[in-house]
Amino acid sequence: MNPPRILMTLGLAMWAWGAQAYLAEASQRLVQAMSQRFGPAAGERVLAWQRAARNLPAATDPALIERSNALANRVPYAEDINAWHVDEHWATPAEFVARNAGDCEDYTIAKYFSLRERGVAADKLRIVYVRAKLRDRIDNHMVLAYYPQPEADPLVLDNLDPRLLPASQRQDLSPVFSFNDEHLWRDGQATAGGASQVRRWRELQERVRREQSL
Amino acid sequence: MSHRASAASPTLHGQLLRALAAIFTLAIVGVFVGQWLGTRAFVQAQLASHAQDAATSLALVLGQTWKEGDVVTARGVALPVFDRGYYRRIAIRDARGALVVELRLAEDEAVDVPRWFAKLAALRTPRAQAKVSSGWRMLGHVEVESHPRFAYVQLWNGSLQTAGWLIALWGLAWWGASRWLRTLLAPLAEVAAASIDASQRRFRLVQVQPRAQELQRFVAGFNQLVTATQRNVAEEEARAEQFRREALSDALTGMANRRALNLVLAERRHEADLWLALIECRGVEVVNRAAGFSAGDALIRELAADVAEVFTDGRHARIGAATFAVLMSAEDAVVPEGLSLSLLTRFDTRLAADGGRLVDAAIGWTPVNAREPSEVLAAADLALQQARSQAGRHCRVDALASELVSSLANETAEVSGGGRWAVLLREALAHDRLVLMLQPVMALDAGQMDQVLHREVLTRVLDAQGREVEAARWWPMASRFGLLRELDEQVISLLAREPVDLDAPPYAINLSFASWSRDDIGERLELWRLRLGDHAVLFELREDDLAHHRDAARNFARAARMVGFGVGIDRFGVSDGGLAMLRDMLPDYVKLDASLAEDIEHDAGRFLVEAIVRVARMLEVPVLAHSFGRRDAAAALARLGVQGAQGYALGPPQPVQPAG
Repeated sequence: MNPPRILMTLGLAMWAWGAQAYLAEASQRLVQAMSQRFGPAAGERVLAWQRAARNLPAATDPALIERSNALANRVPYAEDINAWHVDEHWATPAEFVARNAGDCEDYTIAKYFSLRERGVAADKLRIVYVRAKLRDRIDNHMVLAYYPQPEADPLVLDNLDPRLLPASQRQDLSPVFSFNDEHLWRDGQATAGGASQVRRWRELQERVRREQSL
Repeated sequence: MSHRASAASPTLHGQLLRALAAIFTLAIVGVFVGQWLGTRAFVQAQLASHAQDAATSLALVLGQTWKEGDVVTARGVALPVFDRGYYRRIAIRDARGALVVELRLAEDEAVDVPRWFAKLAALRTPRAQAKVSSGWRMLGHVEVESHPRFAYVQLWNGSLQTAGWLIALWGLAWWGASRWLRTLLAPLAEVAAASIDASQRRFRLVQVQPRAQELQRFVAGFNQLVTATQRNVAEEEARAEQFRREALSDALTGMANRRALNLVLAERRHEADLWLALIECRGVEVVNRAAGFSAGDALIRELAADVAEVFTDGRHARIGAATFAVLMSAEDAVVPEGLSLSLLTRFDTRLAADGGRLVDAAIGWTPVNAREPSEVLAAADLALQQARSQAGRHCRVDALASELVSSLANETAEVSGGGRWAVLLREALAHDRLVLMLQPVMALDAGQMDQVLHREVLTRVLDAQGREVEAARWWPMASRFGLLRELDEQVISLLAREPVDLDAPPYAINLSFASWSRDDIGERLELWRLRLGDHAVLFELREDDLAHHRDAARNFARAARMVGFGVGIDRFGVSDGGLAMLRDMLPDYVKLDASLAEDIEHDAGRFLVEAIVRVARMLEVPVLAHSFGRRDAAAALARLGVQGAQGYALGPPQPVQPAG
């Protein structure tokens, strides 16, 4: 292994570790930054989330999925145009908690991050674009799928339907495309393509990294 | 020597060009490396995205067609993609990660580029994978590894092309820079050449007009210096010329004066058929008294004009108030006599037309016949007195004619002696009857008294009786019979036999016009150099020869210096244009004409010597002179700035030691 590859591996390993310790270990400065952006209550909300996240059960406990889903679903729903004044915004979990508002991808991302923080392997999680049959229309939607075993029927973590149901029982959802970031540390080297080609996901990770370095 | 040093050290052009070349090289290497890294990164990204595309599309197809455990379908989907050759490995695993299909190329598959290049480029083989899913269910995943073979080829070709372009560009830039520098620095080269010339006392303007401001100022400054120096030299030269003219010419008529007549007589007295006339006009003082000095002066000018018009072929001089001298060649008395008569007639008509002025003219002729100038003048004066006494009875023509005839009768025998001289000289040449004498030229500078600057070679010819004949006597004859070239050669051959003494002062050899003006003088000089070996030799040229053949003189001086001979000018300061030759030829020294050194007790003579010394000093040419009489005469010369002298008192001529 030549030096650049060692460095890259090291960097990725650190990032991976960092991903596992994010909101649960939120620094004082991240709290301050959120207070400055979203008002004094925002800091409190981040700290409250932190406390709740620390109290989540371990990865081995089946209750973790249920509890994480519920924790994120406590945040009120808001369209991006209202919450962020843009058409589409993928909020970091910190922003999502501090702003105390979000839409489907924000819930999904927050759930993904808290499970990963808790030590759930990336290949058990997939962020899934789905088409959702709502009461009056069909809409694009995003959920998190949890695969206890690779070939298993996954559990769906959804903010529209807060119950934790197997995908086979969610006839209202049909998957379109899914990704996670497991490619990032396969064999200690980044494989091209995959989720890094989902531009918003890439940008999101960049912002998360900045928040972590605060 | 400064020349040689500057040739050895690098030129500005070369240094700048090397610096520019280094910068170009760095820039181009930089561009190449940048380009290479860029291409490599691009190719790498292409490989990666290619692998990912293949994985994704395989995953999509499998998601729709593949059932668990269906190896045949999996293989059937993967094989066509794999067979395109862009992939090193394609694998399909089921949801639990077990390998279903694996297609793989041999590891050591040859790459179509040089091994070192592949090693240097070290392209990673990107792996991509894509999940195969059907609805929510994960069926497995596809792994694709690209084969870098085509990427290497692409990178190799790209690098070759880039390198080719850059090298061509480098060459073009080098060529352009070289030309540009040459144009830019051309004025500098010109200034450098002019500076070298100036250091050799050849002052000339730099003609090029540089575009760069600094160079413009430099050239302007340089030219200003050169102009000032040129002006100073020209002024001094003009002043010396003026003194020379004053010393040798008559202010009223512009004719030669008595001193100049003496010079010419001394110079030409050995010529055969040479006649001297004195023409005396009495009565001018009456005109002075009656009509004033300006009328008298006007009359003298008219008379002088008459003399010059009648004796067009002669040399004229005014040697007294209204006394003129004419020196001319004539085979017999008829021509001088006829011309004299027509002159007297002219005088008569002029005076008759003028009425009141009574001027009485007489002419006396005498053949020069190799006598001393004073002797010839006395003889001519005697002839004049006789003519006047015979013409006293209003009959001027008779008196003149009879005197002419009588004086001719006495001299004829000597004049026709030329034939004997030819025999004597040819014999001497044939039988090696030449004797070389050396006379030292001593330094006059206080610090180096008694130092011998050089030794002039004096040649004496032995006659049939073994008597030595001095150059002053045989030289005009040798010149007349065209024997000077042979004599010069003989002198050089004789000197060549002398043993070489590297510490001895150089020989100064008088070289005749016939020798130095020959067309093949360049080859001749090389031959002389071979013959004379290590002898230090200066060639002395006579000023009156130089002045009329300046191009040949310059040519000779250049050729002589090329083979290591020095060049001096002898009999300097009396001929027209001699001073200009000083600047033109930059001789190693000039030796003043003997008459000038003789003349320094007179103001005119001293001023002339001083003026010549000033010009010569500006051009750093030493002035030497003949010194007559005792040693303190040399001191007088030294006070005028003369740097060396030769004379009997300083060092008499010594015979050259016979060889062996």
